[in-house]
Amino acid sequence: MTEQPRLGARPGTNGDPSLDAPGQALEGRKRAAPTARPTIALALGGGGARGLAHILMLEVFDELGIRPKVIAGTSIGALFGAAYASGLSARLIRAHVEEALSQRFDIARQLLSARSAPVLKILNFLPLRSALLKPELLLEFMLPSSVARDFAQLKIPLKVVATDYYGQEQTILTEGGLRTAVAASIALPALFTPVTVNGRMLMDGGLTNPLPFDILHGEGDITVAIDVSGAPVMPGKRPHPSAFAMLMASSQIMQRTIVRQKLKVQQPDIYIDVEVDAYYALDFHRFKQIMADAAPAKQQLRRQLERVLTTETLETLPAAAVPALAAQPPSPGLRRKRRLPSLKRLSPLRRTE
Amino acid sequence: MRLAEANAGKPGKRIALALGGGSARGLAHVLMLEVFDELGVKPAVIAGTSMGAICGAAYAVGLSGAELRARCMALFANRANFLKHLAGKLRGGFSALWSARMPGVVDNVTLFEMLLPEAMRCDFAALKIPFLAVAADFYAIEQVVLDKGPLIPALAASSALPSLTRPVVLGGRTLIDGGFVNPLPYDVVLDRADVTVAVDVTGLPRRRPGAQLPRTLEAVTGSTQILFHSITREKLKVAAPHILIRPGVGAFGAMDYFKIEAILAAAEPAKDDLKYKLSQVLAEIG
Repeated sequence: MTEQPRLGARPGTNGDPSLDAPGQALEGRKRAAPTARPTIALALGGGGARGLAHILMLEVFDELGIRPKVIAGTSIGALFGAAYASGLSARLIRAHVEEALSQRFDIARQLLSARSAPVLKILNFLPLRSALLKPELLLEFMLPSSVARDFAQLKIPLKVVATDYYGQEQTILTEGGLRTAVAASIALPALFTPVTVNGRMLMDGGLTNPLPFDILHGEGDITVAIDVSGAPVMPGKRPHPSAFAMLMASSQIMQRTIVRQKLKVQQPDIYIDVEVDAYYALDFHRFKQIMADAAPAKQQLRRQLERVLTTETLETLPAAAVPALAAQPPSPGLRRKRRLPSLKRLSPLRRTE
Repeated sequence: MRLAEANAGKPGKRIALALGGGSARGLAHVLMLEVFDELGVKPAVIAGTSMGAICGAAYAVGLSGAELRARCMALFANRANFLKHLAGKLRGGFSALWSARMPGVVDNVTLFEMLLPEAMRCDFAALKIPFLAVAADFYAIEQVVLDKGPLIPALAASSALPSLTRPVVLGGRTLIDGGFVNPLPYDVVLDRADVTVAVDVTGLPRRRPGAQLPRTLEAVTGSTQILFHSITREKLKVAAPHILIRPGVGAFGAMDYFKIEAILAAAEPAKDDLKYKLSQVLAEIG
């Protein structure tokens, strides 16, 4: 497997043999080349336009000069995960998305905009149609053309979560056509046509796994989960939310409930709840505001990653680490220490139960 | 394991019953309640979400399974009958029920006061069996377990399907259908009895013969059902009920109330299943 010359290479990653051989089996990676740093498994959650915040989180990885060992993504998380795993820098992804949303997206933007709420109108008039848009359309707008076409071309292994509609269960896509997989993962019911892969009809992964940190269990030393599922916001003047707001919010509530249930079984080491609650899933036109609101979450992720990385490098993995040592899980003491900030971060969520 | 513990410690056998949400599919709950009558056991506590809350509350008020069945059959025998019944009770015209300016057109509280038996216009405190209704706090995104105050508003809140029915404001909280946080509320009664029985009436998306893709509205309801299933699946990873019954009513739609006979017929095998399992359990500890 040769490297795709079109892919925007990032400085500092070209020389690393483990990154330039995407065809190598995962088993090879598990026995990992000795490294002084803990490996990071990154889960990017679903949440429509709120997921634009993922770009900021990816910037943190670029700024710290680290790259995740593996990425799992649902819906919009799969979309940006695919772009990043292709080798594009977060800055490039951001520039492309910003440009796409401000210019080329006009028609689709109006169609998708929750403010003008045409979606419901169209639903009412066309109840018999299967759906409005092909999810590939959104991909063409949002993704630079240099994003890989096939999973095999990726520089970071990627797991894309979709939902098998008739099977009612999650499907994890890890090979074959990347765009088809991402299209399936973002195929919001009623808005997008479902995508058929291997005879299975696939839809938005958020229906079964809105925050796929659990499928990364044991794949990295540290699991990072970015939650952009949002929460309904109290309206300013009205005594009740509008019918449209309620419809949008009800699936949000269910997704949030699924995430909470998952957190009862296991927790990621770092959990970032990006506070972008005020935005609807289709508010792609509010790019700038979303980015501004997500800035504190970016700083939070940066601080937590920095802390984890320094602790790990100092204590468990000295410069001359032998392979056997590197493969060992970190000592229990350290694990507990690392968990503390993330649990603390979880408390506002858990308090309510 | 829990059974054995219960056996060792306590003389009685307390059974908790959790009835899930599923709108018209929830009519199947009536048969499950008949099982309790037929076996001569009374649940120690009942928890319900949405349609499960309505059936559970009716039973907790003192209606027998057979009475409940007769009432449902009379109400949903046919559309004309239903509308006649509704119109007969309507005071102040349909505007009491419908308002285009509100979020969700139907006012559940008014609707339930008209449709539910007179006996159910009571307080939780008056119930013969302890009963819990599960609703969702819209803004806090959390489960609210209602077990105090007037019964009807609690039931209205538990089954306030967003954008179809109006949210119910209780104690300063904006409440909607409990299914959005807990479609199968067995976990709220798990610690209140020796044996927990859960009845899951969530639907399943069915492929229309010859159809490649679901229709738009079909996809919306289908995906909501998937979300319900995902919540229940995650909950089962934490703790499971002792007896889980899934009546075969998945193919019925949420608004198929007038197919009541077919729904009850489809749930008949599940009734036998529950009866068998429950009598096994009772023999074990009894």
